[in-house]
Amino acid sequence: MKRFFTSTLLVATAAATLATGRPASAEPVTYEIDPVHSSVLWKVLHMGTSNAWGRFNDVSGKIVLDEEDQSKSSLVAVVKADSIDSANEKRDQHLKGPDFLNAKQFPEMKIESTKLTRIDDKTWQFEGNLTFRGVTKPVSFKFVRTGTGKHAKTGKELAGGEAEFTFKRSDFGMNYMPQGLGDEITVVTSIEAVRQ
Amino acid sequence: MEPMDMLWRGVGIPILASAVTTGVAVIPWIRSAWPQGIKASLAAAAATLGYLLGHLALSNWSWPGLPPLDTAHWPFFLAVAALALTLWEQWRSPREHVRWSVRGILAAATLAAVARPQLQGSWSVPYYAGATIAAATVTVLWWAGLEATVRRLPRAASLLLLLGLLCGASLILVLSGTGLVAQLTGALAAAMGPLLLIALWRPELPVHLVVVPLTVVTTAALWSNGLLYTYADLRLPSALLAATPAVTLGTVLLPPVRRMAASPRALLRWSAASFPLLASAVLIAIALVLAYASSPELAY
Repeated sequence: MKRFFTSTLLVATAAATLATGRPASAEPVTYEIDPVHSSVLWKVLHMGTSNAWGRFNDVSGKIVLDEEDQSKSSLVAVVKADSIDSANEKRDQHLKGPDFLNAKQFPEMKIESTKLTRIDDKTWQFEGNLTFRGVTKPVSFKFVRTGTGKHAKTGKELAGGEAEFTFKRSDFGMNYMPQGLGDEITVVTSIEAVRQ
Repeated sequence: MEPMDMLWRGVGIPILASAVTTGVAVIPWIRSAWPQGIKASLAAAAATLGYLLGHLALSNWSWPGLPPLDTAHWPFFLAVAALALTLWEQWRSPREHVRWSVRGILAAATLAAVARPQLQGSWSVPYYAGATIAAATVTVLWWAGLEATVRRLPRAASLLLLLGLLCGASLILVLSGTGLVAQLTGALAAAMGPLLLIALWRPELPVHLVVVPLTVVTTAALWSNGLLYTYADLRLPSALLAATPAVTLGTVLLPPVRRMAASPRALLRWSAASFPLLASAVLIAIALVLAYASSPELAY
């Protein structure tokens, strides 16, 4: 009987490890977002014609995953507003200024989970808050794991995922150029995080 | 915002609101026996109302919270505070030291409010306090100089001087890469427009001095927004523009000018009143040349 339970436990552990990429029944795992290998892209409709794309070059944050108690899982990511890069220096100055991001008054944008729920072995449902221009509003999206691995040099465990969400800039007090620029901003992120 | 819509919101609405208020309230009272102070206060109220409506229009009619989250909306409330100060000064005629003490407090409150987000950044509390006091002192000195200049000019000419300052500040802010704050400054200039016409039509009406507090407080709030929160260095053009009323004052106080006959002296005073407008034109021309030279990609 004891052997049966031991075997069952081993099979279950192996199955969970395969599904999640890490041992089951473990302590919560903390990952630090790697700013060099992570991307935060945005797009907004310009003159009702085409999407203008840009990115933020400074992102940091932490992801905590707890397989046993999902309520202890969390994600927080901080983006420096003045790291905006639209591939045009003049436009970046305008975007950083009071008309748009107002980066000197609101230097950071933050997304912070209130609930992370596992949907399947690759997908997490994110419920949380977006703080943008000093205004905090709820936001939800799916976070899809793209892979896990080990860093070739450091040997540290890596995990990657992607997410996409949309919000209305007017909800956050960004009302400038309502006819020239769309109200909806779509954020597309690819995160690579290093296990601590 | 389309250019025509922007013009309507930033210029059309402030002019219309100021003109209608001036027309409804001020003009019928020209021949009335009401004290001059009350008539003058109505002129200040007309300009303030014009600015407030322009501010709301440029903010897509969204009411700024108090305290506003974004410091670009402080001028909305500070314009009301400046009007309250004007009404108090007109009706209570406080003593000079009391008047200037209250003005100093309002100037300090204006700059403290606009600079407050810097505390979350690189400014320490002592630096914030020191910077606020220093900026408030400069603002009060500028206020005193501007008022002295306005007192020595024909009433309509003094309104031209204020309009020139506001237009120049608006243009400097536009070139700094901010639209909203520049448009708000333009809205204030537009709201002053009808008063210039009234002053030309009825030179005996004292509509010039009462709008100085509105000009100083609101411009200080808007200008400091540009200086603190844009990514352009506005210090030199701002200092040059702010100094032009002193040049005007110096010109009209020159002994040879004071000894002139009435007609040439009036012509010279009008010319001196247009210094800020001329300075703005020169500054803008230089800035445009520099901007085009440094970046051929303005048309993003």
